[in-house]
Amino acid sequence: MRLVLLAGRVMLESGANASRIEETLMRLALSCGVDSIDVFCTLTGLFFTVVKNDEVLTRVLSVRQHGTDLGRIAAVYDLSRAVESRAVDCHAAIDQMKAMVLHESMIGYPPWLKLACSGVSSGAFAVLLGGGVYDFIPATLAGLFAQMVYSRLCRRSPEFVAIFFAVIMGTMWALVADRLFLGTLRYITVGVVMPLVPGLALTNAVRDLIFGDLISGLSRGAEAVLSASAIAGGVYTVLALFKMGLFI
Amino acid sequence: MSGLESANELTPLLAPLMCFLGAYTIAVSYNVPKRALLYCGLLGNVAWYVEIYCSDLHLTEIASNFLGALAVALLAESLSRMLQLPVMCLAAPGVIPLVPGFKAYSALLLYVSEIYDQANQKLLEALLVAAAISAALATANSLVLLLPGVKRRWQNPQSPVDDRVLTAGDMSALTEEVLDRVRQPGASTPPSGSG
Repeated sequence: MRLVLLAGRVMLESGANASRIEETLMRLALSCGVDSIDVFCTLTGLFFTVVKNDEVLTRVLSVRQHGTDLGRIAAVYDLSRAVESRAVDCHAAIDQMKAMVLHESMIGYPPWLKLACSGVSSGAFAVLLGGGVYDFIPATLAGLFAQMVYSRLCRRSPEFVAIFFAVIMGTMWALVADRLFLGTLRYITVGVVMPLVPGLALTNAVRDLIFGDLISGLSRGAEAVLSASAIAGGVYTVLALFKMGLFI
Repeated sequence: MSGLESANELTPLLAPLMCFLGAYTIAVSYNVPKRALLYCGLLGNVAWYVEIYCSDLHLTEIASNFLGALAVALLAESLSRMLQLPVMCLAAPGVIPLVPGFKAYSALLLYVSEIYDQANQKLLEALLVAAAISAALATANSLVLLLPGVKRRWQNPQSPVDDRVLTAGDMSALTEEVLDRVRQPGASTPPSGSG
């Protein structure tokens, strides 16, 4: 029961899609000796009922934080396979899952490496989408800066606001770089925006909708549209200020 | 700004490198496990090449993006079974080079300049490309499920509402209980109201 709860929380927080969450939770529960389990999964919460020896237990789980962390999804998935094949017993699995909830960055790479990598990806996309080689370094720096702003802000403010300000900051840097003849505004901006694009949310939304998890799909779609409009709003603001001649 | 000309000269050399680098680093920032990182980078390259090849064949932009993403998604499905990872670990970084970022940006630029007809056109193009990419991922997933020997979804062996949970006797006991509760306030309130 607790195992299922924890696993559900980790998976929802890391942005797994509904059918995968349901499948994993069912696997976990059934291999822990439960008679049957039913899971209903939405983007912000999860309900499940477990039946064992004519005893029915229901839990509601609400999740407010979202992020993209494919490593944690993969780790939960691996754990569910291990439990299923009896390589790990239930209590050990609970301990592992608890550790996963408590230490967010336990799995995978240290935060600074992730930050640096999203900066470098900004640089790579600035070049890829038409910029010259000289756009690489300014775009990397701007992307790094935007990601730092984003990761600071998204702890204490809604994601919309965090993305909005991150994009504003990144685009400002792009503007400065452009004025100093270090790069081209458009390519740097596109590069900065790229790691913040809600690509995973969008594909998960479509996948959920197609596989019949309509509520989850619709709310994920709304989330993706919201993040995309935050990005658009941020870029638009800076460009509009630029047009007004505030930065010359 | 001389960005475009110089970029066009360098593209054949630089594009594969940048594709690989972009997909690889995005994969790291998505926290993809180490064993899959190299494949993510290569899938980014595949996406880019298929897209370029299709647009050289004069396919429309949407079709070429769809095919690029489809190629990536099918490869990701087979690789994910090989590496025992969720498909998303491989597919999400793989399709990143196809995301129509520049189109969306130029749409915004046109909106700022108040050229709305062209802006709407650009925005629609960007949205359609994004829709094509995600449709391709979903298509690949459904295509794989059509193969024999692949389970559609983990099926619950017993649905919770079977006679283990609620027998006919339970049912009648439950209705009795509910009826009792309904009756009791009705039986108790009139005296209190009158008294």
